[in-house]
Amino acid sequence: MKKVKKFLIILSVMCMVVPLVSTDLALAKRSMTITWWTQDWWQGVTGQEMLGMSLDDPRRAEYTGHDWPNKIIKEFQQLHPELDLNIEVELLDWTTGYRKLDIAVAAGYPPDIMVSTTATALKFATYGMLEPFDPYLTEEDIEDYSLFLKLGEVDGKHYLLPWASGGRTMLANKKIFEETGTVNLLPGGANNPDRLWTYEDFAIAAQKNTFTRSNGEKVYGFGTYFAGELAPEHNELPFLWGYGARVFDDTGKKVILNSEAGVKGLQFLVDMEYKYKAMPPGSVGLRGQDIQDLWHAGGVSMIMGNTGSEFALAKGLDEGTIKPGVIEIYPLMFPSDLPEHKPAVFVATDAPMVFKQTDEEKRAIVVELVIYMTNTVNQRDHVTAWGSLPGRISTLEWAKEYVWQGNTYKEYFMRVLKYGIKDAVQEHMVSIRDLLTSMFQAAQTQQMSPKEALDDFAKRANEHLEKEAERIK
Amino acid sequence: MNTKWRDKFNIPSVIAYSCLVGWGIVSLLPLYWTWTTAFKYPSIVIEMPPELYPNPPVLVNFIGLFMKAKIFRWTLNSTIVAGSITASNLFLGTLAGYALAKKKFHGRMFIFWLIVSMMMVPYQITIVPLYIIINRLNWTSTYWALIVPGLSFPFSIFLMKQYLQTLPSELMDAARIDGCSEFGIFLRIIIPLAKSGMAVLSIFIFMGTWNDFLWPLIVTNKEIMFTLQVGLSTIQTVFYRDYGLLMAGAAYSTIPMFIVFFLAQKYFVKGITIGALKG
Amino acid sequence: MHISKKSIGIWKVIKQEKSGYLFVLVPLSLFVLFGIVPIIWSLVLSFMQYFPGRSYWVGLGNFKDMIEDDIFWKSVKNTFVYTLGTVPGGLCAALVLSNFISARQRKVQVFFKSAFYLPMVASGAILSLIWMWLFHPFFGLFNYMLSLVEAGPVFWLGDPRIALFSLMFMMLVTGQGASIILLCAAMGNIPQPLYEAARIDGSTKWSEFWHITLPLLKPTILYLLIMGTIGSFQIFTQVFIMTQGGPNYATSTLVYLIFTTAFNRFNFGKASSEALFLFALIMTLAYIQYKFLGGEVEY
Repeated sequence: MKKVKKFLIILSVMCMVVPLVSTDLALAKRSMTITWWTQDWWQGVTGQEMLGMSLDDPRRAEYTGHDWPNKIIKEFQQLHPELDLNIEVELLDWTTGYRKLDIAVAAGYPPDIMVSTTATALKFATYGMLEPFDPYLTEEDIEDYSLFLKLGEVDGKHYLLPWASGGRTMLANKKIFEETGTVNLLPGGANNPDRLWTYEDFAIAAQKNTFTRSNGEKVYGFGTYFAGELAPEHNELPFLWGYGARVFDDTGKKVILNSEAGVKGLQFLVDMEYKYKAMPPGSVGLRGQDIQDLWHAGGVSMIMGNTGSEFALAKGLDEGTIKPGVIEIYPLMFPSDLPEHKPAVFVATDAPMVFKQTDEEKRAIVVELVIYMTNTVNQRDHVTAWGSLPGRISTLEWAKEYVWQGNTYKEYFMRVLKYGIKDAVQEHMVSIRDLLTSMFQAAQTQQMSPKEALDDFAKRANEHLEKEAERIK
Repeated sequence: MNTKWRDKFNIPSVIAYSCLVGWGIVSLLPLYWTWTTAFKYPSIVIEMPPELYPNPPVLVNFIGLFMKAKIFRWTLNSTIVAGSITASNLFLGTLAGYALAKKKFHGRMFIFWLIVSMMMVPYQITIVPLYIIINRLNWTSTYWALIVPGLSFPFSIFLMKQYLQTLPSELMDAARIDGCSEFGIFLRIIIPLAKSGMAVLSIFIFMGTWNDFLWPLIVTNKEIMFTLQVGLSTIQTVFYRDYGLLMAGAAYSTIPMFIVFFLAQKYFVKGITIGALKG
Repeated sequence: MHISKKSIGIWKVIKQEKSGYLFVLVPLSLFVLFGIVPIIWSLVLSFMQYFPGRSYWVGLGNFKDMIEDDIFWKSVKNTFVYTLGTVPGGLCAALVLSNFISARQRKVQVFFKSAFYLPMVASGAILSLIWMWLFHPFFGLFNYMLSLVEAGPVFWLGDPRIALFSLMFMMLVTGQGASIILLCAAMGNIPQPLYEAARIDGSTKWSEFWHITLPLLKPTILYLLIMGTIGSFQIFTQVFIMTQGGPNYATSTLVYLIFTTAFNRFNFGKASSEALFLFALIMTLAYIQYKFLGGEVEY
């Protein structure tokens, strides 16, 4: 009996207290749901977890692209105990993910945060769909982000926070140059640390490294591609930039690529295939993957590479998908019309962006989360996991000291960041990309002369840009 | 003896067989390539010229595939979605197809052309409003979003209408005179006669839904609700295309369709002898 | 209907009509929400400049834009060439192959039907990837076979004069499985006594095919023609994966153009007007086909 009484008392007390406490909590804690979409970057928190595991090791299944976001979320929730934060992460793959994002944005249901490329940020910023970060950045932040912050600038406002950054240059396969005994043709050495060279030098090196192996395998001196989801600013435009040509004028709203310099550059690409025969015939039908496969098989001496190529190669060797002993990468510059014109390359940053918010309080939290994930310490993770350059100078200093000591590959990419130009990441680049692609295809198949192709492109692009300015208002 | 030999190996017959075999080889080639590549070691996969068959066959791609713990859940989701859509389309498609083929009512031609015209608008343009509707209904990441828009495809009604049109009307008229209800006629006379058409329809719908990618991709935000095709697209790495894993996934995802095909095909090889009535 | 309305009485007609409406009720209501509403939405959009939250009317501006765009007309032309090449050609091939198949024994029939149909179970994306390998300029099987006879290489997808025909060839060869299955099913439904009667009259195989099989297959053929036209006018996946409309718009088709207008350029208004044009085009063709072949077939 006594026990029952005691039990009843406790029960009644609990009945009174529990609702009190819980309503109290509910009053104090504002609940907030944030959607965070991201491209699929790396698996595990550090990305190192699976090193040395064979491809059929079941432990691999434990690591996903959610691990790093989950770590950030956990830490961020601890920073905000007063909030009931529910952060939903979704991974988008690198091809179909863009479709999903496009449809969600077009339907008016975008995620709060998207972590994607500079081009993606510029595209949506142009249509006025993103929040500018300017009101939330301190002087210190601006200074620390300064290497790449400008890439996300539209009409004086900044729409991305630099994160996994890097540039694109050319890569040579030193193994093939050794095979042909022409390593001396590669630019470099103490008095040419940027590895600059002229169009003539490049053409000679490419020709010398175009040959047929004794087993009948054909090797090409240089390979690039003109089909598939092409971003000509990565691969083809550097050949035009090297003569001093630019796609856009200083305002970024008018196309001026059909200059004499543009014609020279385009002619050079055509000549590489038809005159010097140092490029695979029928290059126009090739996609990035074809050239990659050819490169991995040792069938092409020079291709385009990026900051992460060394890392990707190491990963492929580790997992056994790339055969050892075929490739030794040597990064080098696109050719240019030295000494008049320095080369120019594509430099960009993959970064978080925030879609327009209606709730003031939520906007502040979302931006805070984005600044948090790109802070000095958290930027270190993608440096080690992904092989990219950090978007903050403070993290760059750390990386130089602790991660890349003696890594000549990374050192080289830091050297050449200075050749990056805004022309590659202008706000209207995405919307004229298909016109640009067709221009390269028309010239490369010799349907049109370089001059005709460029004039036709400039005419179409400028008509489009005029209409676009009218449309966006 | 001599005539029998000639019956079997006459010249038209040889031509027919060589056409069938040649065309068959070309059309089976992609499937063969999918399955053999799935059993090759990943590094060999990108080697050129390619090996014509895996030597020796390895399971590493399939192990890589099944390690992704959710693949069974994705398969289950796909089965639920494709199964219910197929069942519903079989019923509604045959019912409406029968009405449009064999019943006379006002507005019949209007409805028929409405249905046909709905197939002519490319989904690339209707997908955004459809997505808005699903969001308004709060159906994102639910089976509702995956299933309900597909419950009745215009395509199934069109197919069944064209198929049922070839059946003689006398059968239904006779049943009607015997006092059978309209729904009873549908159940007892039309469905048995429509079996071979329905078998064909079930394969088309099951295959189409099973392989559908864009719609499930955009309406599912939780891994647990992914269909198989969406799930498979998420296990590719970004550094290079892992052909082995890709092909293992593709090969795995064709298995249920083999099953459906072989279950359904016995209905349509028989054909139905319905000549008796007409005589 | 063979029994005339008069002999049944008016109430029976009403009753019959009621069941007709009832039978199409559920699909129709589903269509309204998930088909017609989105279609009307895009119809409205073709007169607007659309941005989520801040759209405005532009009247016929999008249509004007569309007509002035020479890439649009190039895509229309490509779509026509593609359809004219694949639909009638594919249908003839499917008819011939089905006729070959249906004359065989049951087991042989099953084998060949499976052989033609099974390849279609793989998704369009995977099939496209594999065909890209077949078409590959230096490692592809086709160029390898050409090299054996000292010919080539042919740039199947890289040569603007050839690329569209390569896509057509692919569809022609691999796209007939569904048609063959349907034609075989329909051929199985043709009453055997019709052939027996014809044989007694001393008919040849050819005249049986021409005078019995073909007329009785009309509803199926009509179905295949209309579906084939709709399908090939809407070709997208193969273009998207294999050529991205290139080289230099040589394989740009209408739906691919609609897609790039909508998503790459985020211009849903213009994309909707292009879709409306496509709709009108297919509708006209389907209507002509229906008028030409659509007489009710009964026997």
